[in-house]
Amino acid sequence: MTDTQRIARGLRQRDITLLHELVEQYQFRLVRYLIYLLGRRDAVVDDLVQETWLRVLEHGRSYNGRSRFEPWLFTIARNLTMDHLRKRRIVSLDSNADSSDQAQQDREHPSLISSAPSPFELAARTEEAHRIAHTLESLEPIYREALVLRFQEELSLQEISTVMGVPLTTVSSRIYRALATLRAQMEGEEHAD
Amino acid sequence: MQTDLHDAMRHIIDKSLVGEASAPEQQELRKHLLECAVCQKYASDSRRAIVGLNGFSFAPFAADPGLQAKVHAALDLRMQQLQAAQPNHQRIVRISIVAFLLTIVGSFGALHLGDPLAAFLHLPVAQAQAGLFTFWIAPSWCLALLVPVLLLVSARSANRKGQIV
Repeated sequence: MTDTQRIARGLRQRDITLLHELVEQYQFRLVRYLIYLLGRRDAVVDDLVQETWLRVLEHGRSYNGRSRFEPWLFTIARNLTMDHLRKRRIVSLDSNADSSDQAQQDREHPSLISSAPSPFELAARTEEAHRIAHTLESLEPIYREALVLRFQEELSLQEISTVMGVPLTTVSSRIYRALATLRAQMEGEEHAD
Repeated sequence: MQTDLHDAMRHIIDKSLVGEASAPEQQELRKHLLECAVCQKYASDSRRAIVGLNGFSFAPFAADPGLQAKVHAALDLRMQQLQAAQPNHQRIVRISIVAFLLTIVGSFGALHLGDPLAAFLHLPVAQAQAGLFTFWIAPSWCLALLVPVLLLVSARSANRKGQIV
């Protein structure tokens, strides 16, 4: 029995021990994905993480074990994030509306603006990472999402297409565009130096 | 012409980074990169950007013990709720089976009432049977079908109310 089949069987039987194991194993990646998707690390991410795992428990029967577990998990997390954003009257991740919503909050609470570094700045461990942290922060969520799924989660283009619910060509063009933005940042900094 | 070639090679570099470039394209790219400094720079900047992405560590965020504990506790609680809801489902199934059996027996009995009813009301037998079907058999089948649906809906909504916020 493969690992994915074992997970599918456990989820069908609502095996709580397996669920706890999955939390331990995938929590880090789920949190990272949500940070890339939302561009922040706050209570909303915590709530979405918790809600995602509850959905995994409740709807585990819909995971068939034929494909990898990660894309299925990220699809649940993405759908919940979209619901959350819709509830906040934000129509789509394609718009940068969430950032403007955040900007509105920042205007209302100016004391919170500059004091809090972005999660990307906090998570940057290398010189290159520090260089692109700010660019990532300003990048639209759909491009950040494409980057994390391809280069950190190492999902195939087909899997990314399933998670994002868009055609393969759209996935590729989002990755190209995100890379172009990061590259421009690198070049810009070199010229500045 | 030269610009076109660079553009084409840059596109292949992008495809190669994403994992879409074919073997002939990769080979063509390798040859081109050996002699083109502009495209070498493009490829190198792209690779640095990707390396940069791997220079983030979100582990401290995810390893938040408060969040882990919250998730595990929420799962345990939800599991208990689901298990508690399980007997409810079994009861619904049992009630539905009984409702169906009673309906079948009732319908069978009602069909045999056609003759006495026709005689009592001085109606043709077919008309009496049609009346029995319209006012007894059909409504009882509808009810028998509705009972499990209504019970399931009410159980589900009760379940939702009990969900963890």
